[in-house]
Amino acid sequence: MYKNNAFKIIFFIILIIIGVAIFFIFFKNKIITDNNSEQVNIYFINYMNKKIDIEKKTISKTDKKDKISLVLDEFFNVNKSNFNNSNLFKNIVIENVNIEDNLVKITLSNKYLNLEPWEDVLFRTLLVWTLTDISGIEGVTFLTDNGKQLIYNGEPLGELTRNNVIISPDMKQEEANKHVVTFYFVNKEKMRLFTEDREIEIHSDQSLEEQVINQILQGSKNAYNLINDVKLLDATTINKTCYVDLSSDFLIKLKEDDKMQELFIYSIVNTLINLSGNRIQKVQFLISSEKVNEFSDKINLSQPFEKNESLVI
Amino acid sequence: MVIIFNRIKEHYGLRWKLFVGYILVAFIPVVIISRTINTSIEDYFLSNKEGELKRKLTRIADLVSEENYIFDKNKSKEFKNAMLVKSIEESMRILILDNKGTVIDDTNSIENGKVLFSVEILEALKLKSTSRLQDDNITMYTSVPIIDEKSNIIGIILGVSTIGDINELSKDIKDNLLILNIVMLVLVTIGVLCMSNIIVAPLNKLLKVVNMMSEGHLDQRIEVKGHDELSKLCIAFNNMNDRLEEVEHTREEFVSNVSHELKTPLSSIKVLSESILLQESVPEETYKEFLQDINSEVDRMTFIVNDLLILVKLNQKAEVLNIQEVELNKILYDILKRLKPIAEKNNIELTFNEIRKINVEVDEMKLSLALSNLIDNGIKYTQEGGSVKVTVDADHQNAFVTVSDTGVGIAEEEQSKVFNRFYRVDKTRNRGTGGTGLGLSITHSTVLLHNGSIKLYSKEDEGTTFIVRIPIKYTK
Repeated sequence: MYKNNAFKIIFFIILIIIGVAIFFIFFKNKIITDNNSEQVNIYFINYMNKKIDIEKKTISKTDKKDKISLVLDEFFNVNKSNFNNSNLFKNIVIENVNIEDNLVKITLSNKYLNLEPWEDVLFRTLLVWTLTDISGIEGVTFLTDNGKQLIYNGEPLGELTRNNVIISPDMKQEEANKHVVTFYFVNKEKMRLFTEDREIEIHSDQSLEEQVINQILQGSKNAYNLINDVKLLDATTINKTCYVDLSSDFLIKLKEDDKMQELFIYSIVNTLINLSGNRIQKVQFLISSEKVNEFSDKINLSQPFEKNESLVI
Repeated sequence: MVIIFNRIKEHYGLRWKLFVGYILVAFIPVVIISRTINTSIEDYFLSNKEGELKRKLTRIADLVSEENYIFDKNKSKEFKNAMLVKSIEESMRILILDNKGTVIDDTNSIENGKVLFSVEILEALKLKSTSRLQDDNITMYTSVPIIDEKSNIIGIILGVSTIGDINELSKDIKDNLLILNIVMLVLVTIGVLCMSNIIVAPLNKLLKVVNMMSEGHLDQRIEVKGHDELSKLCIAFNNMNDRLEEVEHTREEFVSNVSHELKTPLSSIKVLSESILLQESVPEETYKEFLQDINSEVDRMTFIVNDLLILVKLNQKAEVLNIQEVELNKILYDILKRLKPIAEKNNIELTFNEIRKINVEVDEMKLSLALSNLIDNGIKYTQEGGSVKVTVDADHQNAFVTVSDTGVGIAEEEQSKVFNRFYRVDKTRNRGTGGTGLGLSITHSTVLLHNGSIKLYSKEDEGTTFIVRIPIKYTK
C-alpha cells in the first residue's frame, strides 16, 4: 500500500514538473517581455524540418529606424547560427537603411551582385518577411550603392512585399488551367482566315490538340461555321506530326463548297502548329482512321499539311 | 472493466490463456508485419514516383534550356504553349522560375511574376533536384535546376503533382490487410476455441472424476482416446486409480485379516478365562493349563503385532537400514544351525551348498530374519523324509540365495499371492503350522529394501524354490 502511494506521489510530482516546463517554454517570452522591450519575428530556414521557421527575439523598444537596425542584426545572427555556416551572407554589406512611409530602402554594397543565386534569393526572401513583420512596414526595396534598384534580367527588381514574395507556397495541382489559344477561323466572307485569341479551360483528361480541335469544330460567332457537325475521333502527335482523325462528315461538308476546302483545312492546321511551338510541324488528316487518297484536284489529303500564313488576313 | 476481465479469466481459464497466447505470439506480430508491409509498399511507390517526376522535369528542363525559353522573349507564346502541353501530358502543374526565384510561367496562371521561395527551390538553386511530399500528404513538389551549356543555373522548374493514386493504392492495401486481419482473428478465435475444447474437455472430465474420487467413489475411470499427452495422463490416472483401489482393497483385507488374526486368540482367551471364572472349583492343574493356553495366545498376539509393526515400518521405508559388510555365508550358517534341530525333529534333511564365499553390504539382522523365514517355511511345508537345500552363489554384482524344498508346493494360482500379508495357501489358516502369516511378506519387503528381488518356482507335491537376489554393494 505504501509503495502504491509513493508511486502516486512521484507521478504527480513528475506531472507538475512537466507542466511547469511546458508553461515556461511557451510563455517564457511573454514573461520576460516588459514595458521596455518587445518581441520580433526573425525568419530563417530550418534545415532539420525542411521548412521556413520563425525565431522570436526580444529587442529594446525604440523608434522605427533603430528597430530596423536591431532587427537586421538579429536577422544575420539567427540565420548564421541556424545555417551552421558562419560564411552565410558574408558578402552582404548593408550600406544604408532608409524608411519612406511604409517602405524600407536597403542599400547594399556592390559585392551583393557576386552572390550565388541561392544566397541572393534566400537573403531577399527572408529579409522581406522579417522586415514586413514589423508594424508599419509593408515593403522592401533593394538598391545598389549607386542608389539605383537592383536589376534582374534587365528589369528593376521593384518593391518586394508579402504579396509578391511568397514563402512556402501552398500550391495545388487541381486548380483550373486556363490558357489563351490563338484560333484560326474562316471569316464570314469566306475568303480568308482570321485569328481569334480565346481563353479556354484546359482539362487533363484530354490532350491539348483534342480540346483545341473541338473548339474549332464548334466554331466562332464571328466566323463562317461549316464543320460544326463533324466529330473528332482522335488527335495524336507523333514525331512532330499531328494525326487528326475526323468523321466522314468532314469530307461531305468540304465537298459542299470546294472553295472553302483549303480554308477549313488550314484553319485546323495553322491553329495546331501555332499552338505548340515546335512540337507540331505538320498535320495529317485521317477520315474514320484512314488516309484519303482521292479527294479533290486541289487538295491531297493523303499528305501532311504545314502551316500556311498566306491565307490569313 | 477489471471485473469483466477477471470473470472472463475465471470462466474460460485455459481457453483464455490459449487465446491470449495466440494474440501475443501470432496476431500482434501479424498486425505489425502488415503495417510494415503497407508502409514499405507506400515508400516504394513514393520513391518510384519521385524518380519518375525528376526524370520528367529534367527532360522539360533540357527543353527549356535548349530552346532558350527563359531569355528569348520572342518565344514567349511558344514557351507558354509548350509548358501547357507538357503539363497536360505529364499530369502536373509546371512552374518555371528564373535564377532569382521569380515565376516566369505557371501553367495554372496563378503565381506568374511572383517570387517563390521554399526549401525545394533553394535546393534547386544549389543545383540539386529535390522531391518532397508536403504537409497535406497529397501534394508533391519536385524541383529541378535548369542549367545552360556551361552548367550555370539559369532557372528552376518546379512540378506540383498529387500522389492520390499512391494514396488510393495504399488505402486499398491497408483495407485489404485489415479485412484479412479481421478474418484471421475471427477464424483463429474459432479455431482456438475448438482446439481448446479438445484440450479442455478431457481435463474437465478428469477434474470431474477426481472430484468424484475425492468423495469416495474410487471405481471411477476415464475413457482414453488418442495417443497424445492427455491420453497418457488418462492412462496414468486410470493406473493410479487401479493401484488406489488395490491399496484400498488390500487395506480392507489387511484390517479384516488383522481383526480375524487378533480376534481368534482374543476369543480363545475369553473362552479360557470364562471357563475358569464360571467354574466354582477348578483344579490347580486345570488353572495352570488354561493360564498356559492364555499365555500362549497372548504370545501369539504379541508376535502378530510385532510382525505387523516390522512390516509397516519396512513398507513405509521408515526403517533405517544398518548397512554393514558381512559374510552372507555366515548369516546362513547361523540360521541353519538354529533350525537344524527342528528339521531333524521332522526327519527333514537340511543341506547348505556354498558355491563361493560372499561379502555383502546388508542390514544383518533384518536379512537374517528374512532368510530365516524362507528356510523356516521350507521346513514347515516339507513332509517327513523330505529335504531343504540352501545354496549361496554370486556374480560380479549380485549375491544369490536359493532355498529349495521337496515340500507340498504351491499351486500356480496361489504363487502370486504368497507374499501378501496373512496370506496362507491353506485357507483354513491351520494353526498347526504355526506362524503369523506375515513371514513371507516381511521377507519380500526386506529384500526390496535392499534393492534386491525374490522369485518363486513351485509345483504342487514336488516342492518350492525361492531365489533371493541381493546386490553385493548397497546403494540408496
